[in-house]
Amino acid sequence: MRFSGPTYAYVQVSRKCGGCTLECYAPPDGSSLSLKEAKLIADILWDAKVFIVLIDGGEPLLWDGITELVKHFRSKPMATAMVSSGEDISLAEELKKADLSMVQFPIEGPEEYHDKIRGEGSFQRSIEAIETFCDLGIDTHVGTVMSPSNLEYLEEISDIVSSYPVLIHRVIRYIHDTEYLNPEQCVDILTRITALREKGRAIAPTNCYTFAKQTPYVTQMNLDRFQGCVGGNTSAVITCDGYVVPCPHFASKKVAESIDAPRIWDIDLSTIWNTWDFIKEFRRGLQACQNCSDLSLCGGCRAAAYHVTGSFEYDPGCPVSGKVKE
Amino acid sequence: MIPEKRDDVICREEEFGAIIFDPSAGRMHKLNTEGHDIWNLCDGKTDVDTIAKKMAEKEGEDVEEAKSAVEAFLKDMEERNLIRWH
Repeated sequence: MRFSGPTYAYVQVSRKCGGCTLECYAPPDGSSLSLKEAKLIADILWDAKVFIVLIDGGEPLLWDGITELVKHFRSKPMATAMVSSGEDISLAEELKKADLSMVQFPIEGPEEYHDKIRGEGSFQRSIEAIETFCDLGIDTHVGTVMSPSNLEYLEEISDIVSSYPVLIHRVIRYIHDTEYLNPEQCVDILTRITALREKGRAIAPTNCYTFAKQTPYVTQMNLDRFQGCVGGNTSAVITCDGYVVPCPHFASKKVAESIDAPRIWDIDLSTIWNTWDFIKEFRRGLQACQNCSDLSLCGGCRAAAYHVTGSFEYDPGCPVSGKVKE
Repeated sequence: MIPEKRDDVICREEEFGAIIFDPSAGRMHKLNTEGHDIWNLCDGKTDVDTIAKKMAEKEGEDVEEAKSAVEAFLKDMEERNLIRWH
């Protein structure tokens, strides 16, 4: 099924944040959209009938104009979500009034681990943000970036998350050139997520585990709805430099420029979507997946492949692509 | 019974049919080409029998068969609060 354009888009308002020790897909470099540029992007997306927007960063809550931008998106009326690390929640009530649809905050592990990754006091700030936004009645999600170093904490993190009325706990895959989850670790994490769901926990892996069907998690999947990698298929990312890229893991200036990403204000979005060679190659799936029976459903995590191999060769976390490659 | 699509629901045509977006729920739904045709006939003026007849003509199928597909589609749309009945 081919979409004529993205149905949802990430808008990276800045690459400014408090910093953390995880190597981020958008390393802080001080870049930022102006409110005028962000509103222009909103107008372009709405004209292209992009229905859902996810405001990303950097830290959106530290970006001047965030409330105004949420209001602008909602006036279209696009569903408007935000990914934040909860560094400053002084605008929470204003964001509620602006009708923010959803927000996601991180819990990377128990307090000591989380603070080691995201800075002293960040765990408590995240908890306060979760409590505040839940109390305001804004749909609140929690995200955990799962890497080899916090793999052991999954159940402990789930215990923490389940004590708050969050809608869903999303387990994100850490995309990195060396510290990635290997196939055994990916299967392990998906097996443990399955066990947590069987206990009634609202927890799910993100679509970056494109091969989930090949793991015990298949029992939890609605295969009629599962889309595999959504990058370049239903979603796009607009960086704070205006670059259009297929996935948040291509949203640093360096990576966007290395793939000759076009800018949203230079070329019509539909033209980018339908003619840019890189996005077309992205959609085709990884080289090692071309003979896999799940190619159309999965195709591997392009970002994981790109960051490890510098191309779309193979997904280093996939439990089956090695076999297919042989 | 006459179905009418909610006027705030936005439709984007696609090769496979359409995507409809419910802004109040913030949700999207995919429609195949047949669903898209039925959706377009939910204009608040055309009753279910007429929709079924038009779909039967278009798809070259039996009217009763078409009616059953139309009713199933409209039930789904009603459950998603995307249409109203007159």
